Amino acid sequence: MGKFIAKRIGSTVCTLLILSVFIFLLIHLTPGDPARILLGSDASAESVALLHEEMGLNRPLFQQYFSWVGKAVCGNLGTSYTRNGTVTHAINQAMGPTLVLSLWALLLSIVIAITSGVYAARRKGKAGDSGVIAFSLLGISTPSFLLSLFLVLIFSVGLKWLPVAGYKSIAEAGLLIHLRYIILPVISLAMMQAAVLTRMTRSSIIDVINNDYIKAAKAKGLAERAILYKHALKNAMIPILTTIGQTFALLLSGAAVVETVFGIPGIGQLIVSSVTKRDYPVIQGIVLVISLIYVVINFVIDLLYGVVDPRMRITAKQE
Amino acid sequence: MKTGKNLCAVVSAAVLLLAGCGSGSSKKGEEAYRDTLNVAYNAQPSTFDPMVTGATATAEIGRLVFESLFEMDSNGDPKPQLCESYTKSDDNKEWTFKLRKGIKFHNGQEMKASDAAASLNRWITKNTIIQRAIKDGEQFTADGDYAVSIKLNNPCLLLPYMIAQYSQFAAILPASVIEAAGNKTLTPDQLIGTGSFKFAEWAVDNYVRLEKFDDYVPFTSEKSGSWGDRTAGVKTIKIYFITDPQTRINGLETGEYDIAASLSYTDIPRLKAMNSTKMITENFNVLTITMNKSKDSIMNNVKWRQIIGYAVNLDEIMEGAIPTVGDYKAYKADASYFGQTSPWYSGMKQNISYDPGKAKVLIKEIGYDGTPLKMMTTEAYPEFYNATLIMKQQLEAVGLKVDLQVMDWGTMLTRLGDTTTFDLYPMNYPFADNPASNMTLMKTNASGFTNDPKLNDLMLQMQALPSFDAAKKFWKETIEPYCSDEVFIINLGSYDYIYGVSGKVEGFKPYYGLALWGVKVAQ
Repeated sequence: MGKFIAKRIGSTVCTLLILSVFIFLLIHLTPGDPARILLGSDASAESVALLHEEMGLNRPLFQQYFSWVGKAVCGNLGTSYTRNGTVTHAINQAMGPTLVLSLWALLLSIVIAITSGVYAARRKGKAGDSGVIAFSLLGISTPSFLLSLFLVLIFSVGLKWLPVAGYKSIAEAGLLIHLRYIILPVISLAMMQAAVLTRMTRSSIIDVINNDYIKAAKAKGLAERAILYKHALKNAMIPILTTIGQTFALLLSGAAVVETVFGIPGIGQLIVSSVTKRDYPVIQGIVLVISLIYVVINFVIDLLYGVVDPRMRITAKQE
Repeated sequence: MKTGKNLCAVVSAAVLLLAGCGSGSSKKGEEAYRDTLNVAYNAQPSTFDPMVTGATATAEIGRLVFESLFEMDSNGDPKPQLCESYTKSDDNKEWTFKLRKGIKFHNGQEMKASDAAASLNRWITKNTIIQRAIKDGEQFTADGDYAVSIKLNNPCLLLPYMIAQYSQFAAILPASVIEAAGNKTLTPDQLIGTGSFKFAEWAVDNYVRLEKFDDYVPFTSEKSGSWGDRTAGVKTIKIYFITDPQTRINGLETGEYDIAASLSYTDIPRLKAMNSTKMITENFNVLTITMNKSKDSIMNNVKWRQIIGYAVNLDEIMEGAIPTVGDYKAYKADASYFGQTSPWYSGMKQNISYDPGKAKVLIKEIGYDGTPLKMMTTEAYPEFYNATLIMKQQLEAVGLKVDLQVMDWGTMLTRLGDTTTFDLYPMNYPFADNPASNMTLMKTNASGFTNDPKLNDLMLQMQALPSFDAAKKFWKETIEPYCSDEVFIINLGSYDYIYGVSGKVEGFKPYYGLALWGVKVAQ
């Protein structure tokens, strides 16, 4: 197991290094000069040059890259061009709302997916199954921005039950006020992921349910609920777990549209405004952090495979 | 089925419970006005340092925190605000501004001449318009505690106009803050002015909070434009940065925002249909087509600029660029340099105006070889994009080829620094109501702007005139006709800015954007 973990950490470092080159080049080769954007259309060549010097953009590209990577390794992601502070501070500030939004959305999508996926698998081919399939199709094909707008029109503008936009943290306003602000964005964000997870859960359980050990459990007279949740679901978890991992990473990095519609000051908004203003250090920092999150989540999921399925632990040991 | 019903009941109960957690309702028996004014604003600036950027958002929010020696009255003329009076020499080269006494900064310190001089000197280094007038290293100096003066090498009649301009304005800050900031942009804790609101908090990507400055004492009870009594009407202003226009109008409808700025023209019918809100408009954006007059472009040749002037139909472009919704026409097609409400408005008939026949004759005369004109535009601002699409058709109709290059705003701004990449582009200029604030004439640094020796000479002649009235006459009779013939720029027209305002809001009258002093919100 130790060897496996060491191997994975090694490959993670290599992946991040390759990613860092890619991120850096992609951002720096995209047209648009941060100094000119910051100073506006009427900036003089002299003031642009001065700002280039201040930002370090007058140095050769490879020097800028090594300087950035060197500092990033020590945890210093640099200083934002536009935000009067460090990139780490900007990401920390924005990560809170996004993390909360993503976690709520993930929780909601898992609850919906497991409940409806198991329900559909139990009633395969019946009306209930068709209903769940139709719901998941609708969820997959409804863009989050459209769902956001519908929800706002119904619950905020129409019924005036919930606020149109904004974000209040639990620490700042308490759980109930927090939920008032976050519930619509969470539903908007969770629905598509819930639909994907539902389909995955349904098909995994249907695959497992035909195995001999399930038939044996039925023959032993075990209750259907116990068979489904204790035996079938546990064995069907591997693909579901993989999808949950990917879903969480997707939620973290893909909440930009929902954040924009609901005015949530999260990572999505941060990256959109940083790209618009060509705030290189912030863009690089966010992409690097999100890549890191992806890699870590995949790593954790790999470890969880062993927890869920003992056969994986044995295979790893044998290797 | 039973489970489904139970689930519905739980969800409904939860939503109703959450709905009951609102914090907006107020207790009966409290005072008639609310403490907080909530504004939904469309853009968050990179900085709130009012001197370093011409960004509209910085200027509009900055005006609530800072004041200048002069502010514009509703007639578009500068009037003393932080200064009590001023004197100038007959040649307009020596100026002395006598400051008001007892004006307090937000840090409690009294405003003195050393603060004003340091602020104005910082402003000179940051503002490219003022650098055209004060370019030989001249500096403002303190004369005692309550007077600042400056000796210029060239006459500068319009100095009060420059000081009173809205964009990249001459905010007065404590000298200690300016010294601490050095060459760098002001940080939020350094945003210390004399305005009736203090800068309290910037929750990045979320909102800014401004708090009433209790020591603000107006020098007059009159108010006109942005001049005069700027007393706060509420204790707190929260300006939320909401980039999606739909969210802004939704929030206005639900009462979360009291004012929603920059609403979409397509939302006008919805806004009019709302019972509890009113629509307020302000015509202060000027849409232009700017030409690259550097040596790298054929637009360096006045004949080429005249071809463009004859080829474009302003009415058609403005009609396409700014949609007319129902019976509401949000634009005025007008090639004049300044808006119709400006005292500098000429209303003159342009010598070079739409005449495709003349354009074709000139094209033949010039020997056009079919090289496409490089026109850049951006979809970031729909009015720019729509205007260029129509203009492309009009230019093609007279036989020109156009290479329309669509890019994001950041790339377009960057391209402005490389004169080999474009011939013409659309731009808008808010706050352009006098020659001192009109960037098209005053700024020479960015490519495409005017640096014509004769125009420079005419501007200098105007700066030496004895009075503002004489300068206005000279502008209308001499300078604008010259600019028009030279087609330095094509002004397409001006267009409205749409505000949605709750019926509970009292005293809101936009003046070149948000002018929130004195605004109150009823319970």
